[in-house]
Amino acid sequence: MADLLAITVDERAAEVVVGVVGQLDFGTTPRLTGVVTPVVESGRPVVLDLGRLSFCDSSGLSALVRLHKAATAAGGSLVLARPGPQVAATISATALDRLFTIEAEVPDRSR
Amino acid sequence: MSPRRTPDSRTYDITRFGLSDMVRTAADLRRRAELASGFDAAADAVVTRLRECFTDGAGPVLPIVRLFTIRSRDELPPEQCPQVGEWFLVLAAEAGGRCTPVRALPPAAEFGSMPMLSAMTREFGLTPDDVLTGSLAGDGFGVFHVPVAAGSPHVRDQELVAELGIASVLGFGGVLPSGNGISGISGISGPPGLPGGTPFAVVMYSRAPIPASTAEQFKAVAIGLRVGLLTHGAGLPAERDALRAHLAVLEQAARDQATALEQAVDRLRAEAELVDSLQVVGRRLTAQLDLDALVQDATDAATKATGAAFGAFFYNLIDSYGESYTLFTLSGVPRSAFERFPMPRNTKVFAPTFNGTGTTRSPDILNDPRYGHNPPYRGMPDGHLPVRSYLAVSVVSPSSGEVLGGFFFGHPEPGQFTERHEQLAEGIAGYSAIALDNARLFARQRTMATELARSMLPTIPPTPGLRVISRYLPAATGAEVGGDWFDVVSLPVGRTAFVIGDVAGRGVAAAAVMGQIRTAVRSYALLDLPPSEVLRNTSELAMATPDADFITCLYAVHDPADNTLTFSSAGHLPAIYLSPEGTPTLVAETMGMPLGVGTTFTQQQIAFPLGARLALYTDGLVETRHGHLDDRIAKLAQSLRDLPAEDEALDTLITGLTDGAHDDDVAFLYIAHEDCDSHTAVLPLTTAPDAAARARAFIAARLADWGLTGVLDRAVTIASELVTNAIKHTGCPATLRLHAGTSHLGIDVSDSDLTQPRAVPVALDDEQHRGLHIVKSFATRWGTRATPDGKMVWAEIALPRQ
Repeated sequence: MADLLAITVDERAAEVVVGVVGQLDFGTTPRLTGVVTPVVESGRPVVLDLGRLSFCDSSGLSALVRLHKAATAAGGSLVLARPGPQVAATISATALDRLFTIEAEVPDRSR
Repeated sequence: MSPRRTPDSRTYDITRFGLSDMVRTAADLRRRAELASGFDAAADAVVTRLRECFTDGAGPVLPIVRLFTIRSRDELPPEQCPQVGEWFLVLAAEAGGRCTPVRALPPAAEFGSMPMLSAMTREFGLTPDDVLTGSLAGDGFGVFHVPVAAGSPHVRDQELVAELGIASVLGFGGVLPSGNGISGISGISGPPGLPGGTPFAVVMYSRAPIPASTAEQFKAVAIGLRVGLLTHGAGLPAERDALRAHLAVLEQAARDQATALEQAVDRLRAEAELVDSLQVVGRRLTAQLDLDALVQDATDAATKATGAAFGAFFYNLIDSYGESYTLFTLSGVPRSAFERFPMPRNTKVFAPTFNGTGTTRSPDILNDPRYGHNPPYRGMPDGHLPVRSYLAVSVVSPSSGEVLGGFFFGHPEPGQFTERHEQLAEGIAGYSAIALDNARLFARQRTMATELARSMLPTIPPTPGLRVISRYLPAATGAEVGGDWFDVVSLPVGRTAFVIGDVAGRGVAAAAVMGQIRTAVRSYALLDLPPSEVLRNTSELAMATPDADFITCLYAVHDPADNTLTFSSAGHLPAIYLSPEGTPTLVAETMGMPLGVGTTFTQQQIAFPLGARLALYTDGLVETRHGHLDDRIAKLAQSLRDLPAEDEALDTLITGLTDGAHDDDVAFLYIAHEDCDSHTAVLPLTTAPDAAARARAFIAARLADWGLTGVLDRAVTIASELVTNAIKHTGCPATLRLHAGTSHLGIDVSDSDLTQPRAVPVALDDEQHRGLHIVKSFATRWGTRATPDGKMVWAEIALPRQ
């Protein structure tokens, strides 16, 4: 099940847009943190595009919290964009919508 | 003059002068008269003896005894004759008083001025004219009785009565036929050939009241004395006639006495029979608690006892709404004879019976002043059985005084019911009242007991895929609540616990223990403890509960996810498992001692596939005085082979086994695994990183198959958390199960870790511990339970109604 998670990083604009495609659980989360942690630690604003993330459980949420804390510590920011219904539901079920900045669209400031 | 020898010297009681007294006295007086030297001497001997032979502590009971004759002037010495009159009342002898020796008789028209004489004359069958003309038929005799002398017009000398304390006066005598004339009266013989005879009379004044029965006996004394007196005057033929008459009287007296004795014996026998039959009826009635049988029995008994052509018993009952209604039973006629008529109302005839004011007995009801006043029939309706003799008795509750009903008896002939019949009917009515009271109290008690037991019965929750039929029957005999119970408890993820138990003993104490134990089992069940643990905890509780000494209980859990039954038993009778083919097997035998005794209980799991059945029961169903318990259980198992899981079939089975006479309560649970719209799926889990992902894919595929994609997101999220937890905490393979019932989807993951997961509070930016919060918010309910080798975490999602 190698195709459970695919991550793309677009660093062409001031903000880094990270595309997260697939499912986030305890099996796939290490790959997300492995890729995204250096990006947020750079202090640049990061947008996680969750538009094609079909599943996220508490392991995924833990990773998101960790990334959020790392971004803040580096003086940067982390925005969650376009979460799907399952992802939005787990976020609100855990009250993390009060922690995260969530956007309905990926901010288009590059143009 | 005294007799030359004393033939008899006994004394008698004038108040109780019997047949043998009469015979002796008559013989004695006759003999004394015969032995006397002449008429006057005979008279003297007679009055003296009579005065002597009745004595009490205060002396002679008869202070004065006189013997009179009636004589004509010709028969008396001139010096004794008063100036006026032809006929005289002559005192022949007197004991204890002083009376005018000779008195002239008044003319016929004034005979009443000598009331005693007048009355005696009548008694002897004579008229005053007979006496005054001397034309006396020579064989009259009789008795004149004044039971109360004081104030009696027949006793002229009231001063004497007062002075001597005379209670009664008794006169007796007769007419002596004239033969050759009466001799020995002061030496003067009457002229021979005088027509008629000589009346004589003994008059006794008694301090003791003389009863009529004594007076009656003196008829024979009179004729005995007459025979004795005849010695002095009349010829032999006359004496013979007199003797014959005396014998005839004695025989008659003996016959009368014998008849009286026979009647007395009959009466006593009847009395004894009455008491006997009343007692038999009473015993039978008061032992009867079945109301219908009781009233019929009472009606039959009373109708027979009264000799009625037919009898009816109308009685009032209170229905469950508190309304009173009247029923009746009949005896001697078919029910159709009365069916067309309305219930009797409070008419004049019926009122005393319905109001309980007394027995009504009428020799002829048609001529009774109470009869025929009430419209519309003004009497009996057309077609009513003919009734002339009528008897009706109320049945009044001895406890409440309430009129419970009434017996009515009829006979087409008048004058059929006697006082005795009335007594009998009243006796039976009395017993009926007690019996009815008992039956009503018993029924009330029993209803209460049954209500109490029923109120403790659980409501059976829905058990999709299982048809559950339950029965609780209070003991058919006795009014006490028993200690049997059953329970059906819904457990998480579609599982169901079945409980059956029996607290030894009856009554409120057993019921109270039952209530506590039942609640305990239910509570431990809801904690989702394994069956053996439920029983162990309950047993420990029972040890600390007073009176909870011996309780058997069987606990079984059905799990629809894998179609299994898991049992434990605390000394309860084995359950009967029936395979889909109908083969019975006893299960859950000897798994532990009764609650309150045992501390360790084993556990057993069996498959419960589609078509299988399970029967749980208490000993009331199989324990009887006849037959071995094992045989009875085997019989039950065989009876269950082809028994459909339907109410009627089960009722028939129970009735057949108990014969409707179970003396213990019966609790019964019958569970059948039937097809229903449910699905199960099991996935063994690995510890690989993609284990959660595989579980989600598995669920997605199953829910798509089952048409349940509406809950897909919730299901996979919950499953992902449960699987992640299992793998992260134990590092061991676990098992995921899905069970889709009609109302919910169950997801559970079992692992080999004994630590129960807990949802801990998390701070907003905590990186961990959000898993169970997600489960909690995505599941309808969730929980954990211990399994034999670890734990299981489960969650349920309610399915939208289709």
